[in-house]
Amino acid sequence: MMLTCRNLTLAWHQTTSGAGPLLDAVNGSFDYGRATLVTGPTGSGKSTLLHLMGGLLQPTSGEVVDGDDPISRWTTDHRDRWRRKVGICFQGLHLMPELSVRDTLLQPMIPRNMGWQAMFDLANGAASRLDLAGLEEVPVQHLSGGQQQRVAIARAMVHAPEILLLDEPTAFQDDDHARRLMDLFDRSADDGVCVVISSHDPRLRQGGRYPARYQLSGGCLAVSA
Amino acid sequence: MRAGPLFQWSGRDLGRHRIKAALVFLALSTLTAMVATVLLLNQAVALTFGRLLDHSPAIIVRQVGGGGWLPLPAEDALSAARAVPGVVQPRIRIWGVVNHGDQAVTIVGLGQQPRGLLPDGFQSPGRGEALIGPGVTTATGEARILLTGQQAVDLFVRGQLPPSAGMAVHDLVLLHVDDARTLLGLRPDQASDLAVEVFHPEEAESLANVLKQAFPWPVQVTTRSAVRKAYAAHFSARGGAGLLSFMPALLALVLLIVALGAWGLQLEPDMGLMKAMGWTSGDLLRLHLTRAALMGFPAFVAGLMGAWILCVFAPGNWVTRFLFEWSGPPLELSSQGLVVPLALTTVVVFFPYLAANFWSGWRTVQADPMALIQGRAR
Repeated sequence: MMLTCRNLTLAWHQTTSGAGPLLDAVNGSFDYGRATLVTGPTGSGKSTLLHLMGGLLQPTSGEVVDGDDPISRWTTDHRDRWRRKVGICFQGLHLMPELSVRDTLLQPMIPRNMGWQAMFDLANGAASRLDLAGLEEVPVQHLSGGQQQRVAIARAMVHAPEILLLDEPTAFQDDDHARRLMDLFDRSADDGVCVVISSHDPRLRQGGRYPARYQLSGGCLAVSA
Repeated sequence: MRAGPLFQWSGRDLGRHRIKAALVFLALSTLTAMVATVLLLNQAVALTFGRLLDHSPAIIVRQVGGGGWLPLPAEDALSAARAVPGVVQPRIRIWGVVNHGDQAVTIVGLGQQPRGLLPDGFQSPGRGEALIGPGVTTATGEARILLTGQQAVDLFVRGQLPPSAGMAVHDLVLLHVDDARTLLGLRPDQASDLAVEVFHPEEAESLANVLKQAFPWPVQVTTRSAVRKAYAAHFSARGGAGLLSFMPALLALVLLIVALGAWGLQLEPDMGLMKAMGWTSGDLLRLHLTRAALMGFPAFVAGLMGAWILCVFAPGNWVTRFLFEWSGPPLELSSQGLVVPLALTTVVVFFPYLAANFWSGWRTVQADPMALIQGRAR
């Protein structure tokens, strides 16, 4: 099973100067059970591609297909329900600064029909895995940039998503935390999750950790060595 | 989604935006109080006035001339009324309005057999004596009352009627019929008016026309039902004018809508983010409405309680005087009479508040998450 982009085009950044669409007939396949790295220069549309793949935006043309489901063609209600299988970490983090770490991690679980204790256990487990133990009651705005980024990653992973979309997930991390995060993403892929990492962090490109790679440039996605 | 987490999360959200929540609470409760006060008072005035009328005669006959009311020839009037079939218990009344210091009081002259006005344990006042209603004041320590009409009469206050004696006695002074005639300038063969009852109450209107023809002089005949209709129209008009005088309420409504709109705009990125986290449009709409209800329902109840306090406990009935020019006894509210004002206030204030929240929430949750997060949803 895979998450597929077929002729995916997004033109809302098109300018009067005649510049082309941000994404131009992008094709790509992202396997479940594998971590795929998408690289590319700043402004090439990596974040937008993740937003389209997560059903957060609708493409101008083309489609995003999950297995056999053309999710980008679905109505809002259907995509809302499908999105429950997605966990996303934004490049800009998009945390609510006054919420505590625990409340931030509870946020994705509230609509999932779970009891408080189960949600607390999952939140504490995620905080522990992301090296945030002991910070559960601290408001997010009081954390360092690296800690805030790990909170955003924990929020994306806390409900065990089937698709994990990570936008520059190691940008604010030191080498040790970056390595531990990569290990965590690998374990998720080993558990059958479709992991898509968008990054131009050289630490992720080194060592052949991600054999499945795409390069996004000039609005086109190409397999990268 | 389970109700417990939904309520808790809604409460936390309100806590995160506590100043804006407090502003909306204040605006909604003020608006509720203003609307409910007018509606409750309208109901209370109608009820109180209706109960006062219940104690009045079915038909009243007064002689009129070019200058207004004239004293009625008592015996001739009684004979003419008795001759009309369907008329029962015709009786002359000696009453009028005189001054007591700065206060205007209604005096009623009582004969040997006073009808219904005296509660148990009270004797009809003799000459030079008076019984005063609970709304009539005397100087501290004084047991006398000086009334001024056509002449001044100084009376010994033999007792004060208790409030439980009925609303009709509130500003009343009961005195001997001869003292009343002296105060009003009536001769012994004259009366203020003639009161009659009717055998069939539904015939009162038609009997009024017959009575008008039965007297050899011009008379004005007034039925209880006509008075009831006239005052109902008057109080409705006053209530409408009172509602208009509450223009600040409209301003509060505008502020409320603006606050809701601005708050909704600020919440859009949050809602977009929650959508991205897996909240469905339905989940977010439920959250939005739960948040609105958690804030709006207590504000609505607080507004109703404020209206109740203004209606029942406002010192000196100033709200009622201002809105309805009411100078009668304290108003009464019945539990049955509360239903209509409460229902109307709910329809006029609370339902539109919920509808506005539903509309703003529904419009918001239809958008794509990134459009909300980036503020491009509108």
